[in-house]
Amino acid sequence: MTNMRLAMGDQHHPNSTSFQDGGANHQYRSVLKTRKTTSDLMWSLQPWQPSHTFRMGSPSLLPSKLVPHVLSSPRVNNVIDQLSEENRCSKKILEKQAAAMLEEMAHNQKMCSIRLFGICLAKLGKLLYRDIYVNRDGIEQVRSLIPHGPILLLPSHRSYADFLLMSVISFHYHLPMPVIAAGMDFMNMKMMGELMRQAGAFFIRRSFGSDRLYKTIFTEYVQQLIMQGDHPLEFFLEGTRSRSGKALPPKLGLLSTVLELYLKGIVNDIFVVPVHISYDRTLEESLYAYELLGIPKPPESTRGLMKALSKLQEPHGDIHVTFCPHFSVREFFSSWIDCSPHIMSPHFISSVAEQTVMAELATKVLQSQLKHGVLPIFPLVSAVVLYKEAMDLKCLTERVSYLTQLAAWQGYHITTCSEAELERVLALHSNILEVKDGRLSLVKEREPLEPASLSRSRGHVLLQSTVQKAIPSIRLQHYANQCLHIFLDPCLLILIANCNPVPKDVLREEYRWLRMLLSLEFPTMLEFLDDEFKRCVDFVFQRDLLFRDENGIYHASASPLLNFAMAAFRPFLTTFALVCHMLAMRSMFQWMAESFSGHISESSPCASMGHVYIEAEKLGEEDCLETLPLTALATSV
Amino acid sequence: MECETPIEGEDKSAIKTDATVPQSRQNLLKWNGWGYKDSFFYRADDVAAFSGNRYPLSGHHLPGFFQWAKDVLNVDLSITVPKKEALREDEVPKPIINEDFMNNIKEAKIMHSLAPDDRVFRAHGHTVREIHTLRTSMFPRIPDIVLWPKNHDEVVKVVSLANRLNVVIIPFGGGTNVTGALECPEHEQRCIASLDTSQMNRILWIDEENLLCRCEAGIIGQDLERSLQKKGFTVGHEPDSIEFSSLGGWVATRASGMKKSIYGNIEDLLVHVTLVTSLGVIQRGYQVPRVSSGPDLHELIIGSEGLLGVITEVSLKIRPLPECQKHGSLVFPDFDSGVLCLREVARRRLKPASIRLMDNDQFKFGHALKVPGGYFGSFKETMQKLYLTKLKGFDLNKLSVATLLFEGTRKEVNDLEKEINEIAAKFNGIPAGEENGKRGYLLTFVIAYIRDFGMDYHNLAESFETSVPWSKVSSLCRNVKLCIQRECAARNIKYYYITCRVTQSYDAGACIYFYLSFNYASLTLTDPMAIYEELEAKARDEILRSGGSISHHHGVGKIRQKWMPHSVSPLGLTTLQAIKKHLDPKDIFACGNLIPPTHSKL
Ligand SMILES: Cc1cc2nc3c(=O)[nH]c(=O)nc-3n(C[C@H](O)[C@H](O)[C@H](O)COP(=O)(O)OP(=O)(O)OC[C@H]3O[C@@H](n4cnc5c(N)ncnc54)[C@H](O)[C@@H]3O)c2cc1C
Repeated sequence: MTNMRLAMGDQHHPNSTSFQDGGANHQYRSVLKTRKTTSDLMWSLQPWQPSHTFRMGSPSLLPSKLVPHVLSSPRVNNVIDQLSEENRCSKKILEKQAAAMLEEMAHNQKMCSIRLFGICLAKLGKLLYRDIYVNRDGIEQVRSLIPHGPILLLPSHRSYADFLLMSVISFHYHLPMPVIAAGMDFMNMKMMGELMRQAGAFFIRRSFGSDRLYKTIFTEYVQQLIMQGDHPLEFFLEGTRSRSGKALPPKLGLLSTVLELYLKGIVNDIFVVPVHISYDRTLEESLYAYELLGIPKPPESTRGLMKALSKLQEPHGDIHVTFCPHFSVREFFSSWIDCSPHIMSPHFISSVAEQTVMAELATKVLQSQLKHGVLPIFPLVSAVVLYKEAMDLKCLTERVSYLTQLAAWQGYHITTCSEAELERVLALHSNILEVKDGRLSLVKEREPLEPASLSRSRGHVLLQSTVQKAIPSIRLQHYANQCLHIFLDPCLLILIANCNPVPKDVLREEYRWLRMLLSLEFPTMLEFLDDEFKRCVDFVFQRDLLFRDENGIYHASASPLLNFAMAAFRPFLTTFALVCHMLAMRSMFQWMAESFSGHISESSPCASMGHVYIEAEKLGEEDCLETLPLTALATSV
Repeated sequence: MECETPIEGEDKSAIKTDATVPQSRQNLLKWNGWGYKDSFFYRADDVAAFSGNRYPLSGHHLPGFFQWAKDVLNVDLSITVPKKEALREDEVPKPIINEDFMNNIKEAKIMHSLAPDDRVFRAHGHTVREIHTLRTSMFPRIPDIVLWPKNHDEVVKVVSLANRLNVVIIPFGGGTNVTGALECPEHEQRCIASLDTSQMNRILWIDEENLLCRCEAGIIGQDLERSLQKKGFTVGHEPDSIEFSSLGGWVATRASGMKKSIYGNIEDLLVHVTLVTSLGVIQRGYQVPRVSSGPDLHELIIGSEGLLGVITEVSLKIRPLPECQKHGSLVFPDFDSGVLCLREVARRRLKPASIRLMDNDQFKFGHALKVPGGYFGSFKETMQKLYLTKLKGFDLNKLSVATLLFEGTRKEVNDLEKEINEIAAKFNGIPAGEENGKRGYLLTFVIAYIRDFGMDYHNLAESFETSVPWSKVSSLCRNVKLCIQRECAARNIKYYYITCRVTQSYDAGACIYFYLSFNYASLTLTDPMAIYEELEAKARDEILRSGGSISHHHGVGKIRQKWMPHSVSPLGLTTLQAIKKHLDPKDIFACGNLIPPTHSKL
């Protein structure tokens, strides 16, 4: 039996659970257990010796020495020469600018700060979470890779906690501390910025498209970090926390910069370790819901953080961290590209592979996260509730175990679906779901928003009533979204066949088409779509979700998944339809032109989100618009 | 062997050198390994020893060596690989005789032989595969006849006969190539004649005024140097194979000598060359230092690997012998610091005759070959070790060693040494004495003997080299080592040895020389040789990917053709092929070198 929690028991704390992963057995170990029995102070002060690291050659430089090293590199000199000639400005000025950029960027990792952080995080962790589980085999995998080459740790990004978590785990298991690429938003927080630097964060601007100097400094710095070799590089491929709970389409900039090291033959290989982090309850669940409605997040500030922390007294359940099987960039590239054009020039001349290859690699990472990660049971509960599959406890249990079965058959890992566990997660999320007399209902948003915040929303006006109705379901959707990828393929097949019984080749074509349409919603490697299709057709047959008549035509069975498929995936398709509809209206055109002005900026999808919601209300379609897939909007535009 | 002695029209002024290697090579050299018969490593009880009296190491015990071999390669002395003790003539392929050609050769009084051992001796070079084949089996195809023309005119005669009668000619120099260049194409149906140049070994003239000499192409390196040095001159071309490789072979493989920084590589030393092709002779009409007359045809002949014709005579630059020669050595905390130092020395265009940088593994290997209390006092060494590790904080598992050779007037040598020591200091390098330097160079001459010894104990070893821009030296060395590490792991090879050194410095880059060895004793391999070749191919791929070249001086031969299209571009390759076709329409120089078979049919 797969996905069984072996060491169970809510009463005594489980400190080890395991999941089968196609033969590989992931042993999950508790990180907090010993934190609860031994002194945090002693823990943070333990003699700390990282596993043997990869050596590139000369001893690595201290963070402070790295900065001048980067500034005097051929790459930076080269671009400063060019810029001073092109813009007729003195090199001195450019050098100053470069130094300032680097100062803004550079990390300043110090063991003493990490220890300090360690104590705080251990305390905070225990306050917020019941436990943190890490798959031990994944940790050992990373340890065994370290001497062989540079490592990229690529975690999923659902919460600010991701960043801290990874460092705590590295410290706990004596893995070399990662250096972490962080967005600039943090840097402006008083003290926090500096503290984070000392914990190993370095800061990069969100966009620096045409700033050649910045791009050069960035490239050289990141590559040097890797060449120094003693820290894995950690960054979030999704670029930002996914508010919706679904994987975001990957950002390729940093990844390309790193992979250039391989393309240009500077390093022999790079090991990519996807990491999946799942939370029973996301810290930012409410913030996200408001943001998704178009009410912007308050700028990060230390005070804001403190305030937020003081609110966080509610329990947040468990965290599961999965270090997925690694893959080698060398092996990945060997079937994709010929490196020879990249080796003709000196190392400092940039040469970047085609974006499509980078995108495939990034997608592979995201898929691996989803495939190997552990999913808490609550996303399934949310889906069942949200899609009106069941509104009473008894039904709920049944439906959830059915979905759990489906997931397990496909090789996904989901925490146990026992009654006790259901009870626990429902209690954990009592701010979203209420259970009264065995019946479930959504909790109405109680705190009305101040008018000021309402008017802060961008590009459109939100009614108090809209907010109150939308927020709870958006919150729920944040969780439901976390399990959609599991059911995507079977559901699409069912939807296609249900709409119109078709022969196999048509089924395949339509499936391909839909997956491509949804490729920003769900990580998709076009290369392997046909394989996916084959796998999935077999699956739906085995489980009697589809059947084939004597003429070879495929029909959807009257299976329990049919409703689910309709409820879960129709909104995506409706969104596309709706956007097309809106585009057809003149006024809408204008609005689109304004808010999207040629490209999709970060904030506009949020703004448009609210807009579409209002529109949808008018159209009486809000039922299926619980939360609109944001990126679906962007895609359809 | 049918010998005909009189040389017609002998040039009176020519200097006959005493050839070290006799016409019957088997009298002096091993038939199935490297070098002199009397010089080999052997097991004296539980200590390794080197026999004979030709080398500084000869007659010595090497107490550290077995321990090293055990630690690094897990060598088990109790099991040896069976090998053939002598050449079995019944295994030697029967010659394909072209009667017409035979009659003409006899008539022209060209020395020749059909003896199996003569033919086998000229059927191969010194790649590990060739030696392995000799020890365990036999080549499927070998030369059918060996010819010893005595001078240029006889070569012209032989080549024109061969062209007329459709006989294949493979020129043979010293047989030291490491590219399979001398191996006969397996499916060649025509009679194959090995044209041994060893009897063309005269120095034709020495021109002191212009510092030139002209030699026949068969002269062996050590003979050339010995004769010239008697007269106070040197060519200064010293490949590690100088004891056995020939002038013609150097030109044909585009060889490089250890002291190239002062004297130049073969292409810098060569002022004039004569090539006998199947259609006639190509050469310049004058002996001058430089010409502008379109593309330089010398460049076509240098590195032609026996594909275009026979090199018969070569004019070389010579230099007066230097007043003073001195060795030196430097120790660096790690390899990369050493590379930076060598780079700086090159940037400043300082020219020690040689500067080489060994990585840590090679440094340790050198240590393992120490002779106890021997000629380099061990007390001094202990002191040095203490100084390095205790005072300087060097890690014995990381440090790298540079060896130096200086030549010039006493003052030049001292000034240069001082200057280089100053540069080294900037990269945390410290001088480690003359003796260490000297030892480093001596060792290079015995390493080929060690390979034979290793083969007795299930170890296959080979060297390969490349050239690379300075900025990519460190990353290339690192990448290749990691590549071997990975590929060995993938094949379950636990015990292997990969090491490198920087052997040559240029303005724009360096030459890197690797040794690779692995122990297959505990592996159940049907063909360990194939595994070795796979590993080397992976390493070459990695070299190219890291910005290095197909070869710096060994050449292409048969074993590196796979990378030729990438190396010279497909069009470059067809150009080469077109030239070959023009000069040799019947393809009698059918050695099959350089151009991959897929291209050579074009
Ligand atoms: C231990 C060892 C150390 C070495 N060290 C060096 C080194 O430091 N530097 C270096 O450059 N190489 C080195 N080599 C490689 C080898 O010694 C050189 O390639 C050398 O130039 C080959 O000369 P040879 O006379 O032995 O040629 P051979 O092996 O006899 O022939 C090599 C090729 O040249 C052709 N050829 C030979 N003579 C003529 C001719 N007269 N006309 C036309 N074609 C001809 C042959 O047909 C063949 O294709 C080393 C090899 C060994 C085994």
